[in-house]
Amino acid sequence: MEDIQNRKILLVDDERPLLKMLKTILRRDGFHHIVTASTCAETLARVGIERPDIAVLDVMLPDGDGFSLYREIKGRVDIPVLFLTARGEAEDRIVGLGLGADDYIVKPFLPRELTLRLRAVLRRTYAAPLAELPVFRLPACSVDMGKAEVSRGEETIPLTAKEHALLLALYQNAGRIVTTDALCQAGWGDDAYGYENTLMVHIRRIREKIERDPSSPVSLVTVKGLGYKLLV
Amino acid sequence: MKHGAYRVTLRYIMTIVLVVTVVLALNYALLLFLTRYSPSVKQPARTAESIADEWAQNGSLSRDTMDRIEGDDLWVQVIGPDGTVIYAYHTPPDIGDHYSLQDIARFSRNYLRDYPVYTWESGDNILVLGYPKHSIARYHISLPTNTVRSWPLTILGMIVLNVILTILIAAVLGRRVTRPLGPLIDGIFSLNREKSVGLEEKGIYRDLAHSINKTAKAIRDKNRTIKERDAAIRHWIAGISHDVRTPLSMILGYSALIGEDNALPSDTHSQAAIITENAVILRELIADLNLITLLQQNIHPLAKTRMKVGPVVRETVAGCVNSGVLGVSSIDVKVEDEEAAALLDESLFSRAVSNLLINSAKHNKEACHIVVTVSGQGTHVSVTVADDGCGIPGERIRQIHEQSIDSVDRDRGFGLILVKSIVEAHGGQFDLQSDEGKGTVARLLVPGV
Repeated sequence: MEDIQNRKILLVDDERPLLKMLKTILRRDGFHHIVTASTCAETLARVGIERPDIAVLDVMLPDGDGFSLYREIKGRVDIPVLFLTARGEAEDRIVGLGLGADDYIVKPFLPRELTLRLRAVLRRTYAAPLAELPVFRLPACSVDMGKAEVSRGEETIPLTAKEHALLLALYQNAGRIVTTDALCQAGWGDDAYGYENTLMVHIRRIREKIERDPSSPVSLVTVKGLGYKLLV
Repeated sequence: MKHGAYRVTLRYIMTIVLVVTVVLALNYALLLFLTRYSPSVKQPARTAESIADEWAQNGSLSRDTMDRIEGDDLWVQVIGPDGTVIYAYHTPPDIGDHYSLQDIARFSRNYLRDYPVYTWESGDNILVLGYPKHSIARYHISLPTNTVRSWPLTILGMIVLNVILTILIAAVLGRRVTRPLGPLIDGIFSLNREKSVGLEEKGIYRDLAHSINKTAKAIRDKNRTIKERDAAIRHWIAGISHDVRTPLSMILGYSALIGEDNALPSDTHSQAAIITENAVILRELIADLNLITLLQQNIHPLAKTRMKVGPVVRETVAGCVNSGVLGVSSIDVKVEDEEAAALLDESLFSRAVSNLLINSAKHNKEACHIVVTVSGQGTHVSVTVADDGCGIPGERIRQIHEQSIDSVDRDRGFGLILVKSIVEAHGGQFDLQSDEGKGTVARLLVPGV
């Protein structure tokens, strides 16, 4: 976390009051290396001098549009870019850019939406490439996703590859419904329709490993008609 | 359109041929009737024959025959081989009692002192039957033998000749009527394709041409006005939503900053929260208004791909449940046909479904139960969202169906109008039924693939 907040952010927008507000929002969120620019030319100059770690670009600028600026920045330095755009106006073009580590946010936005996106992009780009898989506790056991093991008291039960994939998908959306379709996708890849029964078998096996009473589950619950939910 | 004028001419010719045929047939029938069955028809040759036979057998006439002769004002003479009259009945006074060979040859073809007479052999004698003066016209027709022999062929030839003649005359007359129609027909076809029309206003159809020209101009003018107005609305809405985004960003940003500033009192926090909440509503309204305009004017390109509808609906419902927008409402999903697929813009279609869910949840303050059903309906796929809540007033449903966005509901916003626009952009139908107090059933119907 410390690392992310030390990153240098370049904010680009032709509206100075908005620029000022963005700066305030980011300061409040713990970022303190912030530089700003109002035109394409100024942006490129800043990129050269300040060497920012991420750029937040308005799509409409007085001396050019954000997309050509994006290409010019990418041609010089390999930093992620977060676009600010009006809804509908350029979403298709942004998606068409094939953004990798990059993202876009639709104006007007809530400060929280901006900081969450910004942190997510920074994490994706600068976090250690092999993030450690989590270890979490459930009422009946503790699950180590890194080792693919379930520990119940003295006993250690291994998870199969499919069980691991399904449990990981559920854990990443802990507390939220994951549809059967999404789970089949996680387990069996594209066009996974027809695996519902197989999925039920695997869910039952996971329950046998993580639940105290698999026939009345408390951690991995069924949401009728929709899918499953992992309560951590 | 030459085709149009040609068709009119053809119909005209067919009508003429039909009329001529019918009239000729009727005439022939009438003629037959008059010569064969009319009560006024006289059959002099047959009468003469029967009287001649009677006299040859009996040497006298029966009372009946004599009455008939008298009644019809006829007269009878029997001429012996030497030209002397040997019997006469009811003879007028100007008829003699002796005939020379020349006399007989003359009257056997024509008249005897202006009386139409008919002769018939009666034994060795000749019977003469006379009719009143001027009661019968006698003609003798002589025809070449070959004509008579080929009678059926001749009649057929005459019929064919008549038909051809009729068609030719009708075609010439028809052209005269339809030729000026050609440009008019072209003009009307152009109207249909909204092309410009400039017909010459002369001849018998002058008024019609004038009217078509005027109509064409009116249609063109109206279309241009509509296009201009649409463009104006589009630009206006796009402009508004563009110009509004920076001020709204500022409001949202600072109200959130105030709300999170721990140095400020809690009253200020809740006031800031109200500002934020309303700015968010404003943001959604403008975004929806913009999207509706783009969809209704076919400007927003739909990224349609073939998708199974069941999973999309499940994902949408799960998303709504996960985000908590459904509040206290309970929800059931029934996918009756897992294979049902359609060409969908996933994010837009998902938005339509979630708008319906949110609408059900938001407008039923009491907890309501929502049932979402996906099923195949023939060539279409239907998604219904039914709730057992308080229902939607009929007036509001009418507004939604008319897509009138002039009276925006403070609570409902553009939600349902957006749903209708999205479904129609998918080539589908949106149907909303509601019983106040009993609940609402919303149905999306999209073409399946």
